Amino acid sequence: MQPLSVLQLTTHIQQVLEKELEPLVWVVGELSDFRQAAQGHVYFELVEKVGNHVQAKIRANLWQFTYRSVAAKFESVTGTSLKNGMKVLAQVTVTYHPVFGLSLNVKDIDPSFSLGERARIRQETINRLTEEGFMVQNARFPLPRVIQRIAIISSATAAGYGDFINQVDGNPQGYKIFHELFQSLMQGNEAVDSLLSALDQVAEKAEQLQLDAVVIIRGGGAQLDLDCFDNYLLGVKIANFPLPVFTGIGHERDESIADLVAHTPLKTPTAVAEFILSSFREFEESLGLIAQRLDWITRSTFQGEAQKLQGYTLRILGESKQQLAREGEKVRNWGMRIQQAGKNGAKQEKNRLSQKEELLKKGWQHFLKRQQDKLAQIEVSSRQLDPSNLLQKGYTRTESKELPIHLTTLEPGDRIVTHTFNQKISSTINRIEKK
Amino acid sequence: MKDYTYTQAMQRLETILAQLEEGTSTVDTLSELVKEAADLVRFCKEKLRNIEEEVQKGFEGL
Repeated sequence: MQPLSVLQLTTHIQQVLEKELEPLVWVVGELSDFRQAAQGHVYFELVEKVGNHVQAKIRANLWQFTYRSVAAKFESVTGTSLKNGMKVLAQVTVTYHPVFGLSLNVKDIDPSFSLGERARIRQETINRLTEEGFMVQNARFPLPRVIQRIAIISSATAAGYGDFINQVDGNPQGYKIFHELFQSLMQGNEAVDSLLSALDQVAEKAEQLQLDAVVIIRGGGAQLDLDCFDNYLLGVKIANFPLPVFTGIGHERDESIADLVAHTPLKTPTAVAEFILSSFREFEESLGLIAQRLDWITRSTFQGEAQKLQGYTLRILGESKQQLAREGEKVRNWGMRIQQAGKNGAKQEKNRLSQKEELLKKGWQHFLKRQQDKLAQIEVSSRQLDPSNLLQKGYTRTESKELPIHLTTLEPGDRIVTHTFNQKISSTINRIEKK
Repeated sequence: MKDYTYTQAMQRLETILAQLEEGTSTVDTLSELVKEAADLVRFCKEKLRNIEEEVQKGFEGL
C-alpha cells in the first residue's frame, strides 16, 4: 500500500470527521486552563474528571464575538463569570486543522445547566455542613449587648468597606466602635484562600484586640463571582470561628453558604453597620428605661415608706390614746371602788360605833345597877352593923383612955367606961386575966 | 437613736407598736414609748428625705 503524506492523512482525518460528525454537538465538561488572549479570543480545555483524575480532555476556543454574547448571557443568568472548575454544557463544532490539530469551537454555553449544577453543588455543601452540625455552630455565641470591637474582613478598595466605615465612624450619637481591617480578596479564584487566611489572622489577634465579632463585607461593584462564599472550607471556618461572624456580602439572590453558617447574616455592609449601631442604641435605650424604673421604684419606695411611717404614727397615737383611755377608765374604776369601799367602811364603822354605844349604854346601866345593889347591900350590912342594935340586944362597948379597949393596953387600976343601950358605966380594973 | 439604721428604726417602731397593741406597756413607760416612737418617725422621715435628695442628685443629668 502506498504510504500517505502527512497532509494527505490529516486531510483524510478532516474529511472523515466532517462526514461522520454532526455539525453541532452538545457536550458537558469542566472548564480548565481558561484564559483570554489579547485579541479577546478565549482558550481553554474541556475536561472530564473522576475525582482529581483526568479521564479525558480536549482543547476548546471561543471567538471574541461569540464569547462576548455567551459570557454576558451566562453572567446575567448565573451571576458568575465563566472560570476554571466550572461545569458547563456547551454547544460545539469539532474542528480539525492539519497544523493545529483537534479542537472544539464553542458556539454557545447553556447557563441554566451551570446554574443547576451550581445549585446542586451548593445544596450538597449545605447538606454536608448540616450533617456535620456546622449550620448553627457560630450562631451558638451569645452576642454581647453592645458590639464595641470588631475585625473587618474586606478589601480596602471596596465601595462597601468605605460605606461601612463612614457609617460606623460617623454615627450621629457618637458611639465609638473599634475596628481593624484584615485585607482579603473578595472575589475571584483566590478569594477563598485569601478569606481563610484573613480569618486565621483575625483569630490570632482576637484576644489581643478583645474583639466582640468579625464582619465579612463586600459590596458595590458587580454582583459577580460570589461563588467563593459558597465554599465548603470557608463555611467550616466561619462555623468554627471563635467569634460571632456577621456577613454583609451584598447579594441579591439566595443567601450564600457563608451567610447560612454565619452568626448573623445581613444583606449589605450598611445593614451590618446599622445592626452594630443598633446594639448601642438599644443598650442606651434600655439604660434610659432602667433609670426610669429606678426612679419610679425609688419614688414608690419613698411613698410606701412615708405612708408606713404615717400609718405607724397614727396607730401609735391611737394606741397610746386608747391605752390612756383604758388606764383612765381603770383609775376611775378604782376611784369608784375606793369611794364605795370608803362608804361601806364608814357605814360599818357607824354600825360598830352604835353597837358599842349600845353596849356601853347597857354596861353603864348594869354597872349602875350593881352599884345600887352594892349600895343597898352596904346599907343593909351597915344597918346590921349599927352598934345600937347590938347594945339593944345587951352587948356593951368598953373604952379606956378614950380608945376602944382592944386598941389599948390595960393594967389593973386603969379606969374603963362601959357603954350600954341607955347607960354609961365607969369602973376601975381590979384584975386582968388572960383568956 | 443616731446609731440606728432606717431598718432598725422601722423594726423598733414595729416593736413599739406591737407592745402598744398588745397592751403590755405600762402607763409609766407609755409616754416614753410614744416619745421614742415619735422620735423614730422623725428620724425615719429625715433619713428618707436625705436619701431622696441623694437619689435625685444621682439621677441628675440622666
